[in-house]
Amino acid sequence: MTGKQHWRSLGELSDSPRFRAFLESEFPPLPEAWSASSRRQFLKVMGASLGLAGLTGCRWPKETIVPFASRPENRIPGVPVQYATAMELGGYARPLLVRSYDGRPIKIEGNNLHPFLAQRGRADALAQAAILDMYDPDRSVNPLKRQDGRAVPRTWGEFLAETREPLAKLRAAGGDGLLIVSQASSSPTLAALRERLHSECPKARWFEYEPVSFDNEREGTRIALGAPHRTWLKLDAADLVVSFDDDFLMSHPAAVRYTGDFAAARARADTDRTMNRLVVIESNYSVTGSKADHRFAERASDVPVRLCQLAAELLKKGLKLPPAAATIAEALKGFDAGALQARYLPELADDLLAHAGRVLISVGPRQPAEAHAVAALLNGALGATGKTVAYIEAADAARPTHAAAIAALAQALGGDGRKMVLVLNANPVFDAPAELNFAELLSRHDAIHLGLYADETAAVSGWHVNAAHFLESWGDARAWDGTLSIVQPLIAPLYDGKTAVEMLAHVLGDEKSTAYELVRGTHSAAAPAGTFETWWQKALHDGFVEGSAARLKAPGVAEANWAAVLDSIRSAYAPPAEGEFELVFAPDYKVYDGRFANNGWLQELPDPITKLTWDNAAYISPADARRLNVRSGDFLEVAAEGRTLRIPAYVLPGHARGSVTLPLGYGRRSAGVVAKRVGFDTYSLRTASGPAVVRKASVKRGRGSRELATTQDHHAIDSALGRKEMRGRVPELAREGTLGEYKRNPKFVETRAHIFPLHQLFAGADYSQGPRWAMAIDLARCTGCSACVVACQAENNVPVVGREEVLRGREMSWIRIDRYFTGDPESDEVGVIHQPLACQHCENAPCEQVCPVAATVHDSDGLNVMVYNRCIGTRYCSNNCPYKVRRFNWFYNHHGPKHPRSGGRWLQTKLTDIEKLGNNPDVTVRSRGVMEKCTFCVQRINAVKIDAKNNQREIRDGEILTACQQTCPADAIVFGDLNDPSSAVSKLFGNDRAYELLQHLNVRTRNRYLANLKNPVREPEHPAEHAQPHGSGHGAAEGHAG
Amino acid sequence: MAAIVGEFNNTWDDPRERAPLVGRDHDFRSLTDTVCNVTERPFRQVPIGWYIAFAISSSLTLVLGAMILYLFCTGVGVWGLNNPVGWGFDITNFVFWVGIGHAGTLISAILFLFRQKWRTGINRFAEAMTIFAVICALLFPGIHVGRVWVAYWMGPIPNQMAMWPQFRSPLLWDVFAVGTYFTVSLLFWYMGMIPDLATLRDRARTRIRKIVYGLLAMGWNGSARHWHRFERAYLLLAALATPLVLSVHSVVSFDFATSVLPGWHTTIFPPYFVAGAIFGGFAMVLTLAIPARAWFGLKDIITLRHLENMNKVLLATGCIVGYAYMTEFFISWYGQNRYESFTFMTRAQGPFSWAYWTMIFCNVVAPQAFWFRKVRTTPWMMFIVANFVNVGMWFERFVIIVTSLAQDFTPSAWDTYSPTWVEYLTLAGSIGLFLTLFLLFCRFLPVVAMAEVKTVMPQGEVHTRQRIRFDYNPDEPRD
Repeated sequence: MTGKQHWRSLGELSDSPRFRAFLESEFPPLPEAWSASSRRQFLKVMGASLGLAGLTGCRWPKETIVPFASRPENRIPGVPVQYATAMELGGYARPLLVRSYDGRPIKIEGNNLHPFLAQRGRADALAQAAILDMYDPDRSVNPLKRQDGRAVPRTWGEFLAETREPLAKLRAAGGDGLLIVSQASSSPTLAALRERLHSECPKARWFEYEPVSFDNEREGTRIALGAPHRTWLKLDAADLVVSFDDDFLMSHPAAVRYTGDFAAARARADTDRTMNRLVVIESNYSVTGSKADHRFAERASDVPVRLCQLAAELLKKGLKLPPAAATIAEALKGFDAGALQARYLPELADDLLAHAGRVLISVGPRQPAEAHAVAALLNGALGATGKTVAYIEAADAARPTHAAAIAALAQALGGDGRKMVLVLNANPVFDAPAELNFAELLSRHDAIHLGLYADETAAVSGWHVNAAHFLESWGDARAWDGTLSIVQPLIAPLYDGKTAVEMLAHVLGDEKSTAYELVRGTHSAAAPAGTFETWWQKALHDGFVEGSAARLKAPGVAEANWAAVLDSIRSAYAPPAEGEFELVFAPDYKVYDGRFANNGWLQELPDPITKLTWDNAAYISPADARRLNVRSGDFLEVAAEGRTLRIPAYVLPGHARGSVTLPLGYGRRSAGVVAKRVGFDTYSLRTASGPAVVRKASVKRGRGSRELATTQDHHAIDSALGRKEMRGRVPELAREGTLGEYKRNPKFVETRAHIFPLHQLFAGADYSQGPRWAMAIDLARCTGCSACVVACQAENNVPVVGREEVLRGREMSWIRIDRYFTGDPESDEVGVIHQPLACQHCENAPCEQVCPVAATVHDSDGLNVMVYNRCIGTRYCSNNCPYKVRRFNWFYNHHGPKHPRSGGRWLQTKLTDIEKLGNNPDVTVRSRGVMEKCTFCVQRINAVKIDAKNNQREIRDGEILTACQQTCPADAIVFGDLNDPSSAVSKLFGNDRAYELLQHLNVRTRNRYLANLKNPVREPEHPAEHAQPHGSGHGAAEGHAG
Repeated sequence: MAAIVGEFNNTWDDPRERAPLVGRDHDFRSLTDTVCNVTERPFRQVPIGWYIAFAISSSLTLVLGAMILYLFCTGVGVWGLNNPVGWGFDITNFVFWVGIGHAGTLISAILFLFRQKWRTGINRFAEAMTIFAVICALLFPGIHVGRVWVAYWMGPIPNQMAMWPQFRSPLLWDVFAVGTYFTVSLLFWYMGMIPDLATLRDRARTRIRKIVYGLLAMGWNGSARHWHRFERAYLLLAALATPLVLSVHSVVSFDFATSVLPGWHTTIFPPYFVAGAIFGGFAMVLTLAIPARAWFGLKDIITLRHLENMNKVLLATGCIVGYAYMTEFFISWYGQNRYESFTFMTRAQGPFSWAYWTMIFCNVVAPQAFWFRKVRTTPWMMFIVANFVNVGMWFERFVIIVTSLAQDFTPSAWDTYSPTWVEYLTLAGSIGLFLTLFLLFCRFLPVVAMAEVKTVMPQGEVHTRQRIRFDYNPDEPRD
């Protein structure tokens, strides 16, 4: 610079130390942290600010809501904030991170700091759908008192006033006559209150009941390891996983974690050409079974025997048992594999021995305790314990099993005297063993029912108190691995509901304490003085308490009466008899044990395997169906122990013969409008003697049939021609190969379809500038768990249409998971392949070309966008979509004539205010008559884009997560920018397994699928391979079994 | 059809003498009387058949209105459509009615240019039918959209957002093609009717008829200058309308042909659709003409020869359509495209095979009866065959639209389609609307182009008659 020097003051000109000091005091430099170059430092400060944000935004400890006179710091209207919380299901917490817009929780995601989720922040379908429960207008909104057979609305104050005196009397009597029924809970606060109750009212009795539990595992490990334990599977460390009726990828509190670990072990095929192997022996076709490399359909009651036969086989082949279990060797001799014709067991034993130390045997929760004991023994002997399987000692070792508890409760209720029964969130009238006749038992006593819904139990209780949803309540819970989470509310209770701890405090005479105080009280007592506040804030912010996970143990096998264990298994076994069936009760993938029955998202979520919505059915094998002469939808009369149930059949390929699976949780008698007339109450067949498996039942064809609302195979692909065509087409659409094939020919996907030379007559749009959003979906990782479907529904305000509309084929989900069976339906090894399918965002989009009003167009990022405002609803785009991923609003779907809540009226009814709150404000709620489809979560893309632009930075790879991707427990979905060659999605596009769906149409999708891989012991005899990729004259691959 | 006996038979093919196109002893005056009598006769002399037909058809029209009201209030979901099957009865009806509309313009324009004199007896009729069919057709794209209140966005209406329709969409081409066709057909029909309206005006006895026909006749006085202008304009409009006959249904077929859907994506569609449209259109003309000529005593004007000629057209176009069906199958096999061959195989063997075989029977088999002269010249027989064709052509569109949509590329999305009562009643209602308009036309407007028929009567050809007889050159232009 030349020219004159300009200056402002003499001081500045001289730049003396004194002037600098003055300047510093006048304009202090940025705080250290901001100028510090350390990334760590920066992250720490950011973390702290987030923590503070957590404190300002959430439900105030002071529970009054007043309009803001001035805006609280860090609260910007319209800018979402996230809070960590947890949802407890079956006594295990699912750590969550909830996104809240202006004080309204909108989207539930997994907690991405939580160690249990391996910091990956995934959530399953149930947890994500829970938000809809909170906004459910059918929730009970006030306490109800039964008077003359009618439920009269009352207030919490009236409830307190009327129950104060009787409770005080009970307390004075030491709790004599006070029975408390609760769900399983890991909450320390609840445990503390329970302690207090026991000390104040020693005669009060507490019963913990869950219809679906891991009690068998507890009892099994009690036998084998000397104390009840939980099993912790280290699926990423196992090369061979053998599941005996264990659906650990779906029906498990740790399924989200397990799925991630499992998928990672699958995906090693790309990096080092190795893969884990999964062998599943089960009766029903489960999600875990669908990922199996070998799956053997066996009756659930045969599974323990198979396990023992495997043990015998292993011993024969030289497996050494620990000395404590040496006695078993002799006893096992009775289980000769050959005699029972389990031809696969010798091979499986060989495989197990070959991989010893890197194998894992898991047994499902519905299998008897003895099977769990044998599995623990085998895991120990195979060197799995400590390496691939760890154990967590159960904290409540003394707790009786749930089955014992409910039986004891029934006995107590059946005794003399009128008792006070406090039911905390449980619904025993619906889900207790049928023979106990709980409704009648409970109606004889004074019951107080606390629950989200005025359910079956509420209907026979003197008082019903509306409970607070977990998103409205303070609490605490422990995850499967024992990590403690604080449940923090996202919103003040919509209906002034109460939590279990508050109710319990009232029982104890404490009407003042709020749940917040109680929870804080529990933990402040344990914290060293002075440190609690920091501890508390960190726990709230992180969503878990650091270091609170239970210690993983590798206990040795204890001395046990192994002969008795085996005897028990053998005596329970009965060889299959013609015409005789076993019944298997399974928690439903969607409504769990029935508690989510009023959740429209879950009801309409297609079951991952059967694709059933809005119903349950009795799953039977094709062979049995043929014998009974039934087709899917025909009614069956299922009878066991003198009880009968009329339920439609669903013919499920791959289901074990002689076995009927009955999903629980449907046929609710007293629930909201969503659950009304949905499904069949399978609890009515379930007794204490067969809570999971009933060994003897008769099944015959009943009269009539019911059309089942499936989202795939509508009307079961009527023609033989269609079925034949499907068999030809599916290998091309959902490609699959074996690891061996992959090693020989990494580009094996190209042999699955005839690839035409593709030309384009004119230059397409230029997307080389700016991002080119794209998605890759790895079929080898995808388990079909359907978390993405619910994630999409929640994120994008996708409406629920109801059973009738699903039957019409009008479901709205933007992402569907296509499920195809592979292989011969009559053979043992029927495979399943899942293919999530959303808008492919074709660059040559056929939909765009045909829209007469330009309502669907490409934006500058190459996204195929839908302009709802412009759409007039010709449906031409959908007709021309080769993937049929577009969804049309035939009515006002959120509140139209077919909405479950409209009562069939012609014209649209209004949404309730509560329902309106639940919509994502970033996404348009679509009107009647417009088309909609996957947008690649354009609102999320834009949120990041805007932020990046404001901060003048590039968008980082992985910063934008679509809702489906964000929640995918298997990491099967990857989204990103194709113009960035280093992005994850670019790499996946270049993966050898990547292929474009219906490539021959030359629509140039922005999606790639990565072919599924199976890792069978031996290559199939007729591998679906064609050596010549192109020009060989035929491109259709033959069907191939997994 | 009481008067089959006593039918004037002019269906002979004698090369020495052309058969007369107007029967028996008609002269200009008796012709005028006969035709005008249809509209002039008092209400009690109108055949009871007309009243019954009108009662039924106007009731059906009311049903149509009710169905549309229900549809508008509730949503397109009242129809049985679903996710893969986005179009069902709605677009089937649209294409069906547009197809019907083809015969009118073909008869009035193309046959005019080809100097097919027999067209004069039926062209008015057929043109009216065209107008009404296109009205029915236009109804469906209008009501089938999801947000009917903004259906007008399909039109190129200037707006402050500078938002235009999407010109690459065949649906938009439809709007233009059918709109143009409707406009030209309407003009053609109305213009051709002016001399006859003037005749009605001149014969009118009541004041109201005088006023109405007077207005409609637009001051026609039959002067040589008027006639000269009229004939020039008629020729011009005929020339304009001729390409439209081919273009409209070609464009309609583009709705399907330009898509990627197997079963739609075929280049054969334009000629196949045009032939089908003429086929269906003529069948509908026959369906209407046969009872109308019986009721209103027009058998000598719409003679058996007219009917037979139409039957021949029907036979020819029916064969073209049948050939197109075969070609589709051949190409789907020859192309070795798995998706396409499946679509065609499933049409014949799949869940909608009943519709497919109905179509084949009605469109390919039934018209073969016209190889027999007896069938070609017996009104009740041809009435039956024509109605088969009407049904068959409706099913052709149904098969093309629904079977292709129901089972396309991804088997997971396959579904079926079962129409609801609303759709059945809407279809019935559209037939009702069509017939109502037609019955009103019969009653109040000249059903036969009197002025034109007179030009082909022997009396109109006194100067050329001699030459024709000896030169055997029937088609030389008169002027």
